[in-house]
Amino acid sequence: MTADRYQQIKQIFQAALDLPPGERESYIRGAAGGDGELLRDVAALFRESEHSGLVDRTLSDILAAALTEPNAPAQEHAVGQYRLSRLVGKGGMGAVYEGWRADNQFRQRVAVKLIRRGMDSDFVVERFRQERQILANLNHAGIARLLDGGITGDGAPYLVMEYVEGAPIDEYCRERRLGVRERLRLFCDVCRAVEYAHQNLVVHRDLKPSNILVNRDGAVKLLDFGIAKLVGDDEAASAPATQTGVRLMTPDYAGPEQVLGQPITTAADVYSLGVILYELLAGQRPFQLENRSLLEVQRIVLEQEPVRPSTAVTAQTAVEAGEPRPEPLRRALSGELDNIVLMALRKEPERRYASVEQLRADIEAHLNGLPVRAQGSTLRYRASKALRRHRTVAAAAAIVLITLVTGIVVTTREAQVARSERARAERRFNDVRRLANAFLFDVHDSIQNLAGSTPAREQIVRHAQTYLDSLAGEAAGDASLQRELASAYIKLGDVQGHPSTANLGDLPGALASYRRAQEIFEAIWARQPDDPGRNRDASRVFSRLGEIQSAMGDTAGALASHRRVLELDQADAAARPSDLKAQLELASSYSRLATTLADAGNLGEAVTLSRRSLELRERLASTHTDDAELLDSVAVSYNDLGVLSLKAGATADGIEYQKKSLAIRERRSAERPHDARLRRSVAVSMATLGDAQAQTGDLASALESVRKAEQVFEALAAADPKDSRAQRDLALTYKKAGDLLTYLNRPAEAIAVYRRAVSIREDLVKRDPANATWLRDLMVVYNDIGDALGNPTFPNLGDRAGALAQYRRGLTLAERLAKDDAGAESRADLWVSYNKIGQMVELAGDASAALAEYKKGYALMEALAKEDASNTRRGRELAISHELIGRLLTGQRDFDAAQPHLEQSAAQRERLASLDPEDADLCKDVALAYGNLGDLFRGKAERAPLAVERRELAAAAAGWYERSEQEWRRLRERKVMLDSAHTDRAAEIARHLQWCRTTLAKP
Amino acid sequence: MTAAEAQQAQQVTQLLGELASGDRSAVHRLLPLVYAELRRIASRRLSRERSGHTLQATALVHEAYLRLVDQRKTDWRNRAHFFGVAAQLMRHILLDYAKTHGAAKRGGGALRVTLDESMAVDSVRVEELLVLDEALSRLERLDPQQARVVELRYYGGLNVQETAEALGVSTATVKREWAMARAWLHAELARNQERSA
Repeated sequence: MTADRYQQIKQIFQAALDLPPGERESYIRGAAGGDGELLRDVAALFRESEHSGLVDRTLSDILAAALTEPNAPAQEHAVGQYRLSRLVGKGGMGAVYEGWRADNQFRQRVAVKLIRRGMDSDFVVERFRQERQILANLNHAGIARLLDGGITGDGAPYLVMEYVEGAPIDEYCRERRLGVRERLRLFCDVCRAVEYAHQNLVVHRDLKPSNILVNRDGAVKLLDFGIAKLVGDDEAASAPATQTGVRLMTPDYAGPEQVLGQPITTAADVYSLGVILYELLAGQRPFQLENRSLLEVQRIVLEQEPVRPSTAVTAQTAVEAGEPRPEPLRRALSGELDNIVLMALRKEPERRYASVEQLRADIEAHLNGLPVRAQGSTLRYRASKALRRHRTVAAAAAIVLITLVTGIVVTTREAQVARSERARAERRFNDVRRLANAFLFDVHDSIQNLAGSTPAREQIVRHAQTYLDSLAGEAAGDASLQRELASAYIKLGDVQGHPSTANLGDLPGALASYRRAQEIFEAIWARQPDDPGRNRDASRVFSRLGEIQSAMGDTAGALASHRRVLELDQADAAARPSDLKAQLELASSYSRLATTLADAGNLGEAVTLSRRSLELRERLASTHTDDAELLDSVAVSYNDLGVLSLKAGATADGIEYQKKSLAIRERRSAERPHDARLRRSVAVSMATLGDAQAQTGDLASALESVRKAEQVFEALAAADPKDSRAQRDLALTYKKAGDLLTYLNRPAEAIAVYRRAVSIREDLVKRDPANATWLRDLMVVYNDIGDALGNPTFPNLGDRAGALAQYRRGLTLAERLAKDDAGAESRADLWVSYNKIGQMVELAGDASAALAEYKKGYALMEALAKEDASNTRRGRELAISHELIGRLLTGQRDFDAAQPHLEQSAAQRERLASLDPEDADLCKDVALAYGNLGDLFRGKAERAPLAVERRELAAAAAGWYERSEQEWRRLRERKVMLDSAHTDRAAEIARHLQWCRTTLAKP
Repeated sequence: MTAAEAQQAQQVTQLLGELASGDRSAVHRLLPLVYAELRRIASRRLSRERSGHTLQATALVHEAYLRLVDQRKTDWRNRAHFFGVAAQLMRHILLDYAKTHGAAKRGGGALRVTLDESMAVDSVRVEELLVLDEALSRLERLDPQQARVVELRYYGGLNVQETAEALGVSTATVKREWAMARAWLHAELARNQERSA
């Protein structure tokens, strides 16, 4: 129509409109003349004007939607730091834009999701923020990363995500005509990403093909993880059925519990994955829910059993899967795959796969031709169900399982009697084998980190090992079975006494188990020298042997084992540079050897190796950002390095390393609050940080850190009283608290906590008298109590006899340890005992007995300091020996014998303090050493018969006292906290200095 | 009224003055301000009335006017210009919404809405809106004044009197133009429906 024509119509229409209705028609006819079309157009307009439809209709809904949806790129170019370039799609919850990071430092393409809903209450905003934080920590190659998020100026929340290019998984499979196996592999990638999120306690809630993109390289990326929960309020998420009209849900991928609005767990994602798998395999969804009412949808999802995927296959499906006819596809699906899909789709969440991992494991088993869980394996089904039900009472689960297995083993033996039933026997054989392995790996691993599970774990592993043993006897030539058996022994050894997992503290048992594993492996290698797993298996065994040897005090044996492991791992890592596991093993190897070296007293090499481990782990963590556990290992490295730095006397480094370690661990534990292992690691970090703080003299902070650690350890130890490591942790923390209280001059409190440590440690030694670590721990705390009892600054507590008794107990243990192991640390312990006894004896007035003790210590320490000249701690200890002897001799007025010792002590300490001028303890040592020399010369001066000589000696004494006083002054200026012994000594020195000056002033 | 609101009102009033004195560029500065206010009003209303919410174009525009324009310093021409701008804006907002939603046809015509789509709008009406807008654009070429009337009344929510004021014509003219434009648009929509049916 032209404008002219329209004007013609308008003229007639409007003129007619002014006429009474009865006259209009004749007017129009006349005005139109012979133009029939014009007549029809005007008449049509009149007909239309009679019913007032559209234009008066309210636009309420559309307006509401349009105005509250963040959907006007013309007006809003930017959100946060991101410039929006185009609309890429509409999701359920809002619009998604392609965006670019707006600052010009780097161009990063992102997807910005603007969420449509009034987010006005503080609570909602706060929850949004928290959840966003959780999602931001999801760091996996298969999950689109959440990069940023916030609230726009007009109150709409937004999320910024990694921009993902790709096709929805169903489209991808269709377009590429992927076959069943390729689809399954792709689906397994999806599962891995979901598993990762579940491990981080994030449920997707809205898994569907449009949220699963596959890029050109076939890499899977999941979108919108957990976002349904993030933006949906509880009402919307839990009660869709109560709303009519627009507030419906996408029911196609929602499980029964979701349709009912019940609480959603990981099982909901298992169900959704089941639907997706069904769709990928059968070409259609299990239920046809389109155009159904909500009630119908509920009924179907809750009640109707899906048709088997193999039956649902159509000719079209087959074509899309690259098959000309449907029959082969049906055959491929029927049986295992049908079972797998239907198990994921079970109505009751607890009858589905217990985890996505299980679902994937089944698919992988199917792909590898191994038996699958879903295939009517009622035994495993019952077992896993029992385990799930009793997860917190793991022991109960274990007993259920053990009963099940015992039944089978009996049947096995009976079956083998009858030769005619050979086939059946073989099947049983495999059943038992599979079950034993299920015990060792599935069941054991699933309760491993559960507090309270240690005895149950031992039972599980021991049973599994018994079964494998009996099977191995029947099939000696089966290498893979032998390897399983060796693995079982390793696992058994771990539970018995591997120091870095919860264990029963049975070191000899663990050593025997590892040796047995070693023998089995060596037999395998003898037959197959080119066994590709040889390096790894060997490293696995020897590293454990080394750790047990360390724990049993066999330092030399441990060093040899760990050096062997390092060689093996270096070779393995070099052979497989892109294999993450191999690299991680190498890093662990460095660390273990470093620890062993430190125990043997070689701190220099220990620090070097520990740094190497840290560097490697940091590199791995930065290149494999999807693996959060790598961060744990970085934290371990920081911790190791921190501990070693402290041992080597570099306290500032020690604190820095510990803080880094603690920060990483707190973050990890916050992500997984129920993981006992992560909780322990946080507590360990706190305690170790406390050590470092104590070493810099910040005792209040140190005590605070240790008390925090104590709380966590108490909870962990109470949760699993049989776990000797938890006990040890707790005892150690008590000991640390006691030490700090002692330094803070609160001996009564100190003794109380020490006694708690003693009772735990005596109990541990009773459990395993050969455990060197525990013997040493007990020795240390005996000495500590002795210190607190004999504390001479508190006369009421100055129980010298009691203290001496404790020290002698400590000495007995130290001697026992040094006899078994002549390593540096054992000898240093002996040195401590000699000194302590000497001091107590000296206080009691027996100077010659005391001198004998000090000299024993001195001889020991002189040798130790020579062996490890770079070790500042040894230097410091040697200075102490000199000081003890020198001061005692000064007191005996044997100045000539005293002088070289005190000079040695001062020279040694000056050297150490110059290496680390920040270390207040070293400066205190120097101040004390100068004071000792002052005392020496003052004593000489007092005894000098000639005034000239006396003045000369008094001048020398004054010189030393002045230097000492200067050191104390500097320490005060640095606000270093001095304990009362030090302030008393400083005051004494000031008085003596006064005496010297008076003497000098005399004519 | 807070200081910020007062300042904004002053700004809007001034822009309307510039517009009245013939500076068309003022529209571009005015649009974002009005838009932001409309959104604020809308989300406030929707959060207040969680269910059964209604948003009348008339009410929205009037509230925006009251909030954005300093009543003491304005005259009827400003008012007319404001509603003119607001109506254009409304049309733009709705069109934009319709375009993106109409474009995202889902599930082969089946109506499928997701869990959180609490404000989803049935796609049939969104489509209708799109068709209406296209028809209105055609009408603009055929008869600009009628198109303006429709815009003001339909999108701006103005009554006959207000429309007449805004356009500087008599109420009778508005009524006649409205009647015809409405009838014509109906006919266009009906034709469209036949085509798609």
